[in-house]
Amino acid sequence: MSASSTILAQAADVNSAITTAGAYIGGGLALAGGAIGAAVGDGLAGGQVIAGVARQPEARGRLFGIFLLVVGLVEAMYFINLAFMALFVFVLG
Amino acid sequence: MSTSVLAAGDSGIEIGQHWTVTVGGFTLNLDTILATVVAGGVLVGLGLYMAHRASVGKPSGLQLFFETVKDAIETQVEENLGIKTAPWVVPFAFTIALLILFCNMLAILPTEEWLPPPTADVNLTYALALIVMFSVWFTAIKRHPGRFFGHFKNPMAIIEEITKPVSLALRLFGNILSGVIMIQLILLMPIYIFWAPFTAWKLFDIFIAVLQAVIFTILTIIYFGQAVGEESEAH
Repeated sequence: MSASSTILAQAADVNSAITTAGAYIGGGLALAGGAIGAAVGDGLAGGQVIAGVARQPEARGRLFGIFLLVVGLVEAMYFINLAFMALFVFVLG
Repeated sequence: MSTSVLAAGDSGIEIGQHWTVTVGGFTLNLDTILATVVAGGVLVGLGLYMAHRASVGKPSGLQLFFETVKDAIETQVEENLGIKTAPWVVPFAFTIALLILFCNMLAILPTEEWLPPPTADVNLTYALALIVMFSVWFTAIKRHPGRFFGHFKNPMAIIEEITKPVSLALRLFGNILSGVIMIQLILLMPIYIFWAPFTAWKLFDIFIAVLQAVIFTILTIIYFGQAVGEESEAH
């Protein structure tokens, strides 16, 4: 009787350890993908802004405004990933 | 469940815990409701105060702020759908912009324990996104019902219509929630060094708050422009 309940308790321990490990790995993957995507997106947007300003220095104000808008949209993907990471690690794991 | 996670269990970082009250089977997040009422009350109060003392010759700083926001929104509406087409979009977008801005700015105050920024609760952002999307759909159905329902022959259009409110809500939620989580993580540091990243992060959070309010508003106006039909349609 006590042997089986010990085994059940250990099995529950292992299960919860696996859940926690899975949650951490999932959270790490979400952050990694988000960071890579956001960095590449911001870099592309910045590069185009620099090229545009080099062609036409007086368009700098307008281009900067559009650049900030694009950066906001790109970073949004990253922050959505961050929110899901928080969900996996803190709530589900 | 998360007792083995050091940061979550022992150090008191809680994600998604709210001060709730259950009314007739529904669970309400009272801290979000309270913070939204506070932000809305501040906005309405400032607006009434400014309108009471508005003057053409010597505008106060508050009046200049409101006028700048109104001008920017009118420019965007003019570009996307034309003010004469749907003039009520301007006050709608104006209210959404300032409400989200004030709700986000609650993250800057040091009262995060009792008055968290309500946009860090996914319920509020979904509610805002659904209000915007229902207005957009209602406008589209009222003005061009045939074209609106004809859009759905293309399966990508269905996905797009679902993605719009979900991405609007989650973008705002993720940005502000990351600010809240970062503050909680920074507070774990010892007291003599945490003030530097704390100040830097709060400044960045102010920038994010303004930027996210701007993006939400611009996307709202763009969606209205798509619903009403732009100049490139058969004119």
